[in-house]
Amino acid sequence: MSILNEISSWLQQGRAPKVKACVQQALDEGIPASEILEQGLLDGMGIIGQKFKNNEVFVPEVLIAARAMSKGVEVLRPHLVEDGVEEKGTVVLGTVKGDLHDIGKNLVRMMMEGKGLKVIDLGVDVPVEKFLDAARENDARIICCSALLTTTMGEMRSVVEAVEASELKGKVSIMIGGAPVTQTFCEQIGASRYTADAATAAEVALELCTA
Amino acid sequence: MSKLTIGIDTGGTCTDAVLYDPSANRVLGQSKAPTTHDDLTLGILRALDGLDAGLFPQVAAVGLSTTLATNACVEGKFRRTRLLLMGIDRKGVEKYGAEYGFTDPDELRYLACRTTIGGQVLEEPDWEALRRNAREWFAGAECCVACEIHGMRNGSVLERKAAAVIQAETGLPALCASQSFSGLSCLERAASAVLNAGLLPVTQDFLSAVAAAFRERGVRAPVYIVRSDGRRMGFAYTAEHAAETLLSGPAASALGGGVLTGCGRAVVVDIGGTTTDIALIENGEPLLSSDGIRIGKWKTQVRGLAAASFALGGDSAIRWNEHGELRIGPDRVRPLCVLAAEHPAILPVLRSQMRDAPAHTLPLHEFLILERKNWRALGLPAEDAALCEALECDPLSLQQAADALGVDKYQLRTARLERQGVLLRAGLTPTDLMHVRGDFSAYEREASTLALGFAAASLHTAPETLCRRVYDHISREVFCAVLQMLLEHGSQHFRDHGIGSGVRELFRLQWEQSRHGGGSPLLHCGLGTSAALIGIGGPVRLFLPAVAEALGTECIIPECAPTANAVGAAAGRSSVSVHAEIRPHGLDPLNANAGDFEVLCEGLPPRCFDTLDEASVWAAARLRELAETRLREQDVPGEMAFTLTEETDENAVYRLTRLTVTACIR
Repeated sequence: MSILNEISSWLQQGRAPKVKACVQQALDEGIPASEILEQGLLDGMGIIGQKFKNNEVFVPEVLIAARAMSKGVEVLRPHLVEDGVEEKGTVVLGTVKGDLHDIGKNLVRMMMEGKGLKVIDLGVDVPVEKFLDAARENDARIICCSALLTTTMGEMRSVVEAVEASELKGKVSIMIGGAPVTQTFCEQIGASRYTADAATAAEVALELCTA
Repeated sequence: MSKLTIGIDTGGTCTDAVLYDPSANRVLGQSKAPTTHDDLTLGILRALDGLDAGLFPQVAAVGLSTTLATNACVEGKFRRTRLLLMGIDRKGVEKYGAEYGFTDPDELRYLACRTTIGGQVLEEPDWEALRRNAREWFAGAECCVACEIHGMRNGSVLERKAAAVIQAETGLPALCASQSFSGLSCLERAASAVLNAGLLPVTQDFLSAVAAAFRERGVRAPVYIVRSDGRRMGFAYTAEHAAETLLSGPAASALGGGVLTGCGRAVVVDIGGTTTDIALIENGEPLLSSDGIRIGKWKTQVRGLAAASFALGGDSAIRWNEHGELRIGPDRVRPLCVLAAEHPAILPVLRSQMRDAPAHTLPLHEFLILERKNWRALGLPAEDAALCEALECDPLSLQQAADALGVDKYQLRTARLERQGVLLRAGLTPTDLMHVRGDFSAYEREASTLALGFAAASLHTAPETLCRRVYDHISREVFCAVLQMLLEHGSQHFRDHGIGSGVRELFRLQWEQSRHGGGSPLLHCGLGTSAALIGIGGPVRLFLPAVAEALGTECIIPECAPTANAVGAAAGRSSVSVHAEIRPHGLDPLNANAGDFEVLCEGLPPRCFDTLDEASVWAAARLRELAETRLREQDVPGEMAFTLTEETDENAVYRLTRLTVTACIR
């Protein structure tokens, strides 16, 4: 089994120390960092994502896999920058006000970082104004909001409206996601994009940043 | 005695007037006069004088569409207005302000504050600082506008307070942006309000001049101005909301088309002198664009028609390049037949010119006309001044002008003077071709015939063929523009990305097949519409039937097509629509006792209710009050009728209810 497959498989099992070691080994073997990311770490995350959709694994497995991923990325990051996988844009990310759920949000962060995006993670229970201030401060291209409750998803609408009201109108895209969120809701509130899972969120974010 | 209305439309080329009987939907008289750009009132009065003055006592209202605000914007005739911006700092304006018209961040004044999109004021501005600095900050301004980032959600509370402080300290008039404009975007609200404030004096002067002139001619009826969305507004209101008149012309023409034909669903094509405008009508109302109008450097919140406009019309210049390729537009020239009717002396010049050079790469058939008599005041460079001097008495052909200046005709540079509007050209236009073919006969046909012969020879073709090519070109452009507009109306994809070369090729194929047959027998291109094509404007009957045929629909050209825009101005209704939204309130840590249904009503801070019914009853009542106040502001008399529409997204997780109240006069 190649080292990249090994990384993917350790990652799926959530074995962070193994993943770290294998990533280091792969680097020592002279495999380009971007290749390790794509064919090792992200490959593993992709498979875990599919298994989750098929009810073959559950949230805990996804979480430990994500943790393993972030450990792997830590080793990889200096080399990614060296390889010219530069930060391709800045995303401001957070769970909206009144909502304390962050599992999905953290997954999204890791996936986005894996794509070479700089992510400003504002954490949970983030008020609308904080999203805007962070976007201004960091010159972000995207504000990305997460919510798990039907009672808090309305906050996303406030974020959309606040951006529309500000000078950032048309300059900052708003991506939304979370269990109750749907494409219909996205259209209803005028957000830029809805994505159903973390991997797609990262792809869309990259597309928006490089457009 | 029936109540009549007068409709007047000030277009780029002509000012049209009609006497209209709304109860019978009948036009009793129409007249046309050239638009006088330096003083619009003149052209308006000349058009008015062409109507039967005996009927004026029966006139109950006058509707007027005007390009005044547009002209003033383009020429920069503003009162010096200074903006106080609250909630967006200098950095934000530096970065993005230019897109809205705020090109110089130093021209604005800033006051920090913290408010929320939900209508709360977290931190008031430093009022003491404003009080202390007001005189210095607003020195040299003639008027101030206060705009706060969330003013539309908190009843402009901070804006009103700021305006009061400024007024008290400086004595200047101070306006609140969010009271005139309720859209979300702060900088658009600010730009629109600055335009309104800046245009106020020039609008006021114009309106009082018009009112006085109407009275002088025995028209005592109130005068209304057509807004960009086709509705009309009263005098006092117009003076304060000049920005609302931007693009009132296209609105009037779409409205006229709809009124004259009574079509509920239609595509209105207005082929004018300067441009061709296309608008869509659905349910009897012109469709509005979702984005604000952009005028000059300003991005406003004024909504106009969802209209497509392109520079092709009866006065578009027909020219050719040095490779012998035909070009129509986008430049506008005065038709030669019109010039020859005004100045018969150009005919012999044209004749001898054509004898000396029957064909050429230069448009030697064109003449130069001095348009601005006050050119001496402009401080022109010597060579430009010499040309103006030479043109003082009469228009000159290019050759004559070159001779007068002692330069080679290839070296005759006139572009700058034309751009400034000092010089105008006369040349070969579609209007001339219509004279040659006998489709139109108001002016001097010989000038047209001579120029057509010259153009055809220069393009190595026969005059008749050239005529056909020009007619076909115009029809095809209209065909493509109509299809593009329908595609953009029907699909978000085309709205976002426009149409690409592939779709354009499809249009070409369909046009060629429909007009000339041919192409692949295996392929049939069949884009079309079931909406009628309504044509208005002078030359539309020559071009639109072919377009309708290619689109598989009928073509309706009302009898008074040439002045339909004036009919639109006459038939416009006064109405006001206001909106509210009821949304699930969710969790608010600041106020746990608030009800679950939050009402967002234009101009009011948000309010929560326990049940949807309570919320909707309250919202409907507020909207009705608001609509009534706004309509009364426009000083229209008569009994009001209200309609309420309420729609809820039934199937969505997030249930939104939207309410709209429209008030109009019965």
